[in-house]
Amino acid sequence: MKGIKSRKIRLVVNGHIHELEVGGRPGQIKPSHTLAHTLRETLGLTGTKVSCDHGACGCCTVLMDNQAVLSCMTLTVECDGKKITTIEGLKDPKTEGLDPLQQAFIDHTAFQCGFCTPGILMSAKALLYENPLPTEEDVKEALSGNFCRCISHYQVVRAVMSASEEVR
Amino acid sequence: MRSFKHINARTVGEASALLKKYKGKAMLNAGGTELLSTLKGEYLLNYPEAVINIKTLPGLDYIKEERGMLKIGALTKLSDIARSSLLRESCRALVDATCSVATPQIRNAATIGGNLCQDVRCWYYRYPDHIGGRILCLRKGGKICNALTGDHRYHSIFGAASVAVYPCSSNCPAHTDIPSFLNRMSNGNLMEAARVLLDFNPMPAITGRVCPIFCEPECYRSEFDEPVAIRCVERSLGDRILERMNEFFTPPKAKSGRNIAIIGSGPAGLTAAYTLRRSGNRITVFEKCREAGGMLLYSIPPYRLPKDVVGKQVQALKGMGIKFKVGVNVGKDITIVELMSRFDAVFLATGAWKERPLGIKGEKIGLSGLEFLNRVNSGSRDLPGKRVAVIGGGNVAMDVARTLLRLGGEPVVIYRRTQAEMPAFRDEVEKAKEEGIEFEFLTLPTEVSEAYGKITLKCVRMRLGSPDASGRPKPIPIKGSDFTSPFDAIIKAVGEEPDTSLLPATFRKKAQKASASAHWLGKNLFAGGDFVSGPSTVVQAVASGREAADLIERSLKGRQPPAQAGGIEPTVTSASLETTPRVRIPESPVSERIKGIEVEDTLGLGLSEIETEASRCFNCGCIAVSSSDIGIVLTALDAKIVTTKRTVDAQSFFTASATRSTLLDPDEVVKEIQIPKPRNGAQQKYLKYSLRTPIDFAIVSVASVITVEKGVCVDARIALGAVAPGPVRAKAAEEAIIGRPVDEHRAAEAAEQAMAGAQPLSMNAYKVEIAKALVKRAIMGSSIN
Repeated sequence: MKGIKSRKIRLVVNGHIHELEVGGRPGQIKPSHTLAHTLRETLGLTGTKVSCDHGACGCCTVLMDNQAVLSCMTLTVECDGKKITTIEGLKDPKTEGLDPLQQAFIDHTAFQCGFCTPGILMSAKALLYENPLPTEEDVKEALSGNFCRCISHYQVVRAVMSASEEVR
Repeated sequence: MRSFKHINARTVGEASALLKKYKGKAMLNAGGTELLSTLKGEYLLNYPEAVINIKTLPGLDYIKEERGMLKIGALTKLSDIARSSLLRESCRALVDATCSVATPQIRNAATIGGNLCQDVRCWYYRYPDHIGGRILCLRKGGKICNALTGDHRYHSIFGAASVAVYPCSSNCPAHTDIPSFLNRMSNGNLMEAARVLLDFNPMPAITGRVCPIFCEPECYRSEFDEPVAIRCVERSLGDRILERMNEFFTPPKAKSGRNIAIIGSGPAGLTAAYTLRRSGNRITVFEKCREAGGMLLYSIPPYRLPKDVVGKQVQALKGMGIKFKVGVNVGKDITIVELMSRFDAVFLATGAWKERPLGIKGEKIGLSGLEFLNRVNSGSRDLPGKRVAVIGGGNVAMDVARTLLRLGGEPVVIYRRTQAEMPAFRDEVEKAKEEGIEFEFLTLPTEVSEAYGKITLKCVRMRLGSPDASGRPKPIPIKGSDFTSPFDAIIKAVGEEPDTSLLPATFRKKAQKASASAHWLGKNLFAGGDFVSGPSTVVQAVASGREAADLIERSLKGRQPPAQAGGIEPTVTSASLETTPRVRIPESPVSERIKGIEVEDTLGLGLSEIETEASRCFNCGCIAVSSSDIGIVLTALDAKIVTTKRTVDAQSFFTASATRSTLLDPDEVVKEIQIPKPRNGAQQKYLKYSLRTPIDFAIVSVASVITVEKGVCVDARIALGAVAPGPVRAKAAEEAIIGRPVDEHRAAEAAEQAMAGAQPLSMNAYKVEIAKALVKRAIMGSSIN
C-alpha cells in the first residue's frame, strides 16, 4: 500500500523488462486491467487472443514463470516481478526463427481459422517445459482447457507429439 | 471491468482487518477466476470498492504431514496439490478432485482456499448485468428464482437453503413465520404447525377470517402460478386450535409474581394478555362492554367473523387463567391512575371508537356507523330505514352497507373519490359490488335536512386533482353540480380516532405522538393497538399487542436483549415445483350471503385440503449448489478447515444459507486444511459426472473413502456433491455397507438408500439416477470411465 502515487510494477515480457505505472491515466495500468488487456492494448502484443473473456476457452493462455495461465483471468497489478511469455516470445531471440513447436503446427496444419492457436501453442509449450516427453494422454490433458471450434485438436495432438519427438 | 482499489495484503491479519474496514465492500483474490468473473459479470448487487490480493501472502503455501495429519496451506495452488507425491500416495481422492477442477491453466492460478470459498454457480444468479440486467433472485434478496422453473441441472435435489427474508413473513405485520408453519402443516404435523403459528398470533381463527392478507400478494408462488392460500390455511388451522384449545392455551408453568392490567379486550389487548400470561404474569383484562372481544365482537359483522369464534377465543384465553372484568368503564368506574397504582403495569388498548364528524350542516340527523354495527352485533335487527346513504369509503362503511343489505335495506355508498382510492379492503369492495350495492363515487355530501320524516341529502360532484398529503388525488368540487337525493336514513362512516379523554392530561400528548405500534406513555403505563395507530387491522393490532407485551416485559425485568420472535427458522427447506392450482376457497353464493348477517361469506377447508395447500409453499429457498469439488472430497475425508477464527469440519463449513456460500464471517479468512491421513488400504474415489470435462461443473459428484477388509466393509464415508446447497453425507449408504460384505447387490441397495428422501425438481430427476450410479460405482470401486 505504500506510496500509491508512485506504485509501479515490473513485468518481464518475452525477455523485455517493462516498468508500468499503476493509475488511472492513459498509458497507466488500472487495477482492473487484465493481463490480456495490458499485453494487447498497452504493450501492443496482439498475438494473445481474447475470446470468451471468462476463463473457459483458453485462447488467452500465456506463460507466467513458464506455467500456462489465463491472461483474461489475471490482474496485471498482481503480476509484479513475473516473467511472461506470449506467442510473440516463442521465436528464437537470436535467429528470429520459429519455435520447433510452431513449425510442427505448420507441418501438421494444426489449425484452421487460427484464433485459438496462440493459446494452444502456449499451453503446449508449458507442457513441454515440464514434461519434454509427454504421452498422448498427457498432451490431451494439458490441452483440455483450450477450445477450438474448427476441430483442429487431432492435428494439434499430432503436432505436439511430433515436436516432443524431435527432442527425443 | 469497472475500477476498484487494489491492495496487496502482506499478512492474513492485514487481509482480515481490511475486510473489516471495508464492511463487505471488499473482496479477496485468492486465485482469480471466480473474482474476475464476478467483477466482469457485475451480477452482484454491490460492486466491490477494493480487491485485496492474498495470493502473495507468505507462509500459506505448503503441503506437509504432521503426526498423521495432512496439512495444506490455504494458498496452495491446485496444480501443486495435483503434483504432490505425498498427496498422490496418501490422499488420492483429493488429487482426483483437484484434477477435475476447471482447466490446467486455472489450476495453475487457483488455490485450495479460493476453491472452498467460491460462490454458487447458478447461472441465473450469475446472469451478467450487461445482458438485459442482472437477475434479482431470492439469493440476492429478490422475489424470483428462475431455476425453479427453468433449467436446473446445477441445482439441488435435496431441498433449498433458506433465505434471510421471506417475502410473506416480512410483509406480515406480526412477522408470522409463515414458511415454517406451512412446512409443518404440509407434513401433516398439525401440533407443530399450531405451535409455530401461536408464537406469533394467538388468534389465527380470527385473522384467518378477517386479515386483509398482507402476505399472499408477496408470495413468490404468484410468479409461478398462484400464491399459496395462506390465510385459508391459517383459518382452518386456527379453527382446529380452538377445537382443541385446552392443549394449546394452558396456564403458564412458571409464575412471575407480577400483576398486569389490560384495558380493552380487542385484538391488541387480547394478544398482550396472551403473551404476558405465557411468560407467567397474572393478567386482568378490563372491558367496558358486556362481553370481551372489542371490535372483534362489536364492530366486525358476523358474516365476516362469526361471534362464536370470538367467544371461543376469549374462552381459550380464560383457560390460560386470564381474568376478564367486563362492564367496567375505565375512566369512570375506576381511573387509570388507580389501576397504575394497583398493578405492576397497565396496558391501554381501547381502540379507536370515536367517530370523526362530517362537518356539514344537519350532520346530527345522520347515525354513527360504528354505533349501528354495535347495535346489530348486540342482537338488534332493526333497519334505520329502507334506503340508506352510507357516507365514507373505508371498512366501516363497507361493513355498514353490507350489513344493511343483509337486513333488507337498500344502502347507497357515497364516497368523494373513486373506487381506486377507497381505504376499504379491495376484497370487501368487490364483494359489496358483487352483492349489488350501489356506489356513488366522486360525490361529497354538503348538507343533510329532514322534513316530514324524509331525509334529503344535498351533494356535490367531485373531480380528482393532484395528490394531497395522503398521496391520493385530491377531490375537488365541480361548480354547479349540486344535486339532492331523498333517503330514509343516513349513516356516517368517514373515519374513527382514539378517544384520549380517559387519559390523564400528562400522558395525552405522548399518546398522540406515538410512532411505533406500541408505546410507553410514562411510569408503568403503556398503550397500543388502534388507540395508538388509529384504525388499522386485526393483525396489526396483534403485532402491536405482542410488541407492547415485549416492552412491558423489558420494563419490568430491566434492560434485556429483545426477545426473539418464537418461530423456528427452517434451515434446509423443500421446494415443490410442480404447477399445482391454488385451492379453491369455498364462498357462499351471493344469493345465500345476502339472506342474513349470520351467513359466513367465506368458508373453511378440511385438514387434507389445507395440507395440500400448505405443501404448495416454495419455502423460498435457494436451490443453487456449492460447486466446490474440493469441499465434497474434504467432507468424505473428514477434513477440518482452519480459519482465522475457528476450526470447523468441512461439511459444516458450507452452511445451507441462501445468502452465504460458507459460514465465514465477513472478515474471516481460511488458513489451512487438515486431513486425517486415510488408513492404508482405504479405497478413495472422486467420481464426477459433468457434461464437458474438464471445464463444466459437476451435475453430480461422489467422494468416498471406503475400507474393505477380507471382503467386509469396515469403514465408509461417502459424500455427495451438487445435489444440495452444501455437501451431503450419504450416511444411510454408509450404514448399509459398514460391517457387511460388499457385493453389487449391496452396493445398489446402499445407492438407493443414499437417495432416499431426494426431492428432485421438475426437470432434474435424472440427477437421482446419476447419483445412484455414482454411489454404486464408488462402493464397487469402479471408476466412472
